[in-house]
Amino acid sequence: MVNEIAQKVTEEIIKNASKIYETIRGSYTVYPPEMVVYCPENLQKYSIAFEAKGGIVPKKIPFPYGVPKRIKLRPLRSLEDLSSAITVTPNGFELNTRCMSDIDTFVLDLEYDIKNPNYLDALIEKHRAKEVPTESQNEYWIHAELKHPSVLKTKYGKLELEDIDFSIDVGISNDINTVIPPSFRKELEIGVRLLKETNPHNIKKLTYQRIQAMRSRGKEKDVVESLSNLQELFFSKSFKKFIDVKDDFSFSDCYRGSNFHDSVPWNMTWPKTMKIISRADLNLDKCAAEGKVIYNKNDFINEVGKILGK
Amino acid sequence: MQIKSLYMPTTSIQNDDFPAHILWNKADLVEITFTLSKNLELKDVYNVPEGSIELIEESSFKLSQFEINGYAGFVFSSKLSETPRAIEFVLFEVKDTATGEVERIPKSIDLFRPDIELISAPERIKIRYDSEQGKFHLSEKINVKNCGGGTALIEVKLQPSEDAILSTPDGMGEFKKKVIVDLENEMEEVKKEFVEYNAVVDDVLDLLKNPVSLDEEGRVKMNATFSNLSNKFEENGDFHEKFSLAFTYSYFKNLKLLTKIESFLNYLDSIGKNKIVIHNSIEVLKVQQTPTIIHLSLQRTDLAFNEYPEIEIPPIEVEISECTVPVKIPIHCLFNWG
Repeated sequence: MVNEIAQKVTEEIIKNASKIYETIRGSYTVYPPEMVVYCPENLQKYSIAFEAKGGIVPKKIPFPYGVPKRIKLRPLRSLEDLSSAITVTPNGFELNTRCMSDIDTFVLDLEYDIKNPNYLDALIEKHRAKEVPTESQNEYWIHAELKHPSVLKTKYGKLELEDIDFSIDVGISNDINTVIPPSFRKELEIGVRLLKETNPHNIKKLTYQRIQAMRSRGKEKDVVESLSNLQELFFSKSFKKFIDVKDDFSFSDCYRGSNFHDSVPWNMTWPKTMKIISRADLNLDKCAAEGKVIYNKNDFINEVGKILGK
Repeated sequence: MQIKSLYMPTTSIQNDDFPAHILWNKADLVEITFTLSKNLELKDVYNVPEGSIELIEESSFKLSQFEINGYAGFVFSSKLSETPRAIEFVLFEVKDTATGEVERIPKSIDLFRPDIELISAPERIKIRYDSEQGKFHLSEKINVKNCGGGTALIEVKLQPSEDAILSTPDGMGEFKKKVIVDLENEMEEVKKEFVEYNAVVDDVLDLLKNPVSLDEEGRVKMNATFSNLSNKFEENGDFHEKFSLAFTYSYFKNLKLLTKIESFLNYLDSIGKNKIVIHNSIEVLKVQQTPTIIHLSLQRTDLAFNEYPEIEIPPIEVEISECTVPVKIPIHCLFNWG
């Protein structure tokens, strides 16, 4: 059964597109439009190409079908600036055709917000591996499929869904834990005691122990500096090199994971997981997308080891 | 007949949903039969007219009509199995109605769940304080192991008594309180900008202010909040970014109260071996007077927040010797996770 929200919102998108299409068709020859929903921005975009058909074209063509978020008119042959050809009106916009050559082909790009935030949920079923069974496995499957592909079929062209966002949590905490050298951990513990200690005699003793621990680690770098360097690994620009996204999906971004599996709010700083964002497109020719997120665990472990002096 | 793609994932947590799809050449008219093994159930089929799914026999279904030709989408669900690893099957049979040719494609899935086993528990633990190292030494530990697949979330519980309780360590409570106060202020800005997500922000703040147990009510609440938050993040990348920034800012603002080093140690302590995460890792066992008997238990779940029976640990006698400071043992120190 076709979902009510999917049906209703798609009808609104197509109704709007069809009015614009029919309005232009009254004066120009129109090519089949492109209708795309950009998922992350919750935007619908129409691109309509048209050219003069030789008859009389009114000086102004009104489009009283709502104010678009963005409008762009571009000529295909000349490099003319056509910004003056568009005037936004209280209930939409109008085209001033006197600014437009009658021997060129034009493309009108329009973007409108999709008001219903549940639209994409009503159209797309998303699943992902919540985790992998063993620590040695590092491939997470991802899958998206259309729930109601028939609503995307219209007489004005095909509606496409682009850049469907997909997030997956990749577990990293065990990898950090296994690579921590005992000498580094000892140094951390001494560091904590040192920061809390007020007795000068104990401070001296702990400082000596700390130097010994640093020597046994064989690194000159301070633990605080090492931890700062470790923090940098969790930034997108660093962590993305440990991730490959394959098949129908492509990598978009990564963040510190946001699950709260323990009861203190430090997950954002020392994450147990990294959230990987990948994207795929769905349309009537591609009703389902499959892919995998591969976490290059050994490379990550080696990098952590290098930072911590293993 | 040309099948372009037949997909079903090869692994999943038990008692959860997983998808499948078939894409075939749009010019071919087909009938699809699929048969599920006993621990699987059909949850949804996409791109078929209402009422057109034909039940042939128990767990065997036939599809012969499609809203647009060339695609069928499926959602299956699994049950919690008696064993931590179980292989289940779906047999797909695609018949070309023009030629009668049938292609049979079996797919299998490895369904896993964690399996926490209490390997051994000592009858008595002697606790000694090493003033040189500033550490408590325990004569013996409780041995617990994850013998299954996937992550086990564990909450250590103690039957409170006059002699022993579980509590948050000094300083940590204050740190947490201040982070939450700052987070609430930061989230006010986020809420003003993303009015439609106010409910989920409030739910997250509520979880932080009033941490839940891994009992049924807690699991349901955590599952609902995290799934909802994850969906909202996917829906709006800008909200994701602002929400995360609010967290990071509140944390760093209060970092002077809990040093960077200490927070990293706490992080390490919350991770056991073999995919075990300790839910209440920051808590300490405070022992006022010994010898005393402690009654511990382990409440547990997995990343799909499934229900598992609580593990009772036999009573343990705790005895303290050579201790000049109040006894506060981080709970992770009571266990070996190997």
